[in-house]
Amino acid sequence: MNGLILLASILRIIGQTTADQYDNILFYLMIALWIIMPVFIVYEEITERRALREADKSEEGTA
Amino acid sequence: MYTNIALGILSSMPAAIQGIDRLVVDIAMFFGLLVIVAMALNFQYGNAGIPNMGCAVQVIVGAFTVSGIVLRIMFMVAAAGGLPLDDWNDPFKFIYSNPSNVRLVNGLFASDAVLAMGFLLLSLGIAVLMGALTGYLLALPAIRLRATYLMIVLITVADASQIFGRNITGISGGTLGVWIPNVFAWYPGDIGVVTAVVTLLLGLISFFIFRTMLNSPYGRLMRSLRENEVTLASVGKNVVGIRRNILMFASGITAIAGVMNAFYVQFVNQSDYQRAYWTYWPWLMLILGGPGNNAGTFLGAAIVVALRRLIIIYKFQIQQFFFFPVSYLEDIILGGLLVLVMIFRPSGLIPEKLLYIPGINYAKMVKEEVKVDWRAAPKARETHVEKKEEKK
Repeated sequence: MNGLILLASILRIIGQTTADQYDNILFYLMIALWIIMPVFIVYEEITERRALREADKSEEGTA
Repeated sequence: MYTNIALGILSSMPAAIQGIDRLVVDIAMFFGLLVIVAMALNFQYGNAGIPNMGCAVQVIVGAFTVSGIVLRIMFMVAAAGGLPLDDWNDPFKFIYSNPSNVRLVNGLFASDAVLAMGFLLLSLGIAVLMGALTGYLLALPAIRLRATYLMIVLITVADASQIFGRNITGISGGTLGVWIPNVFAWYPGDIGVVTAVVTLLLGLISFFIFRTMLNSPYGRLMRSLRENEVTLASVGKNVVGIRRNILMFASGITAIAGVMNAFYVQFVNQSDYQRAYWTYWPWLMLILGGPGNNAGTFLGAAIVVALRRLIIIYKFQIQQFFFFPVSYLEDIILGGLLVLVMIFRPSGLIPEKLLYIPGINYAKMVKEEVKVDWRAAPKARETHVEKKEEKK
């Protein structure tokens, strides 16, 4: 609840700006979220595959 | 100061939501919705081997939660707050007074952001509970049967849920549908972009929940259930209970997609929740990307959603290259991609890899020459310490 009030207050403080600027902020936030998810997943996938390759050599860590 | 600098930079840019940006927002929104459904499906089928052919049921439960339960609570709160709402108590009046009532509630939400966001959270909470309850009820008759029968039951229930929605007008307005108040009415700009951000955030949260579960011992239990349930039962695990829990959990998460779709289009009609869209497209995403890993699910979702939205939005430009109506192209792609993937890449574009458990060496543990990286495997440490103490 406090978070929501804080968010509402922040939006009100920035309230002098026009709606287009809110849209710009959220649009780029949306793109960032859209990029963060796959990048994180791909990074994790590559890390795990690398670890698996190393584990294969020493026959440890797989199930 | 930094706020002013950021606003200065942003205000020098052109308005975001115009032309091609509208397409980007639309693709992001549907990517967010379908990736939630596809991840839940991956959780059930890719990791536990439960072939949920009724994803549409869980999505429709989410949407019906908004139209049948939360909408009434909204009206009750608005009426208690002094808004002159028309009577909505009998099913006929629920439909015909709906547009004027929703307009009044929108006015309330425009002036009270906290209340509006509270209703969004309430909708998500109730939808998760209702989705889990649906999963439990679906599991009752069919979970003990073989996968084929479970699939048949789930497909049938997906159609049955639409029939319920069509005939019981109190749920979602029957064939006419009902309008849903805009919980982002307080936001001064474009509603689509704020809904897309919230949906992607929910997708991200769902991803981390699924990831945590799959990396936990329960995830390994799920994989063993998929590989050989007889072996699992023979070591004393409750196979039916595990399956039921998985179905309940994934159903709850899938219902979130139904809620966000209802708030995005601000309208709920049972005909928007067809099996082809909410079950077969997520299945295509899963099969295309590769079941059993989240990277595959994301890749499949990205390809399919982008392809679909591009066909819909540029249908007039694409039409000149085909001799048949371009509206059939979606279905042709659905079938064609599925056939091609099954022939050339049966394990998907990103095949499932072996499970990696950092720091644990099972071969050496058996010989008691274990050197485990305990920081990476705290659970294993507890078990190992307990075993040592038992030996002493």
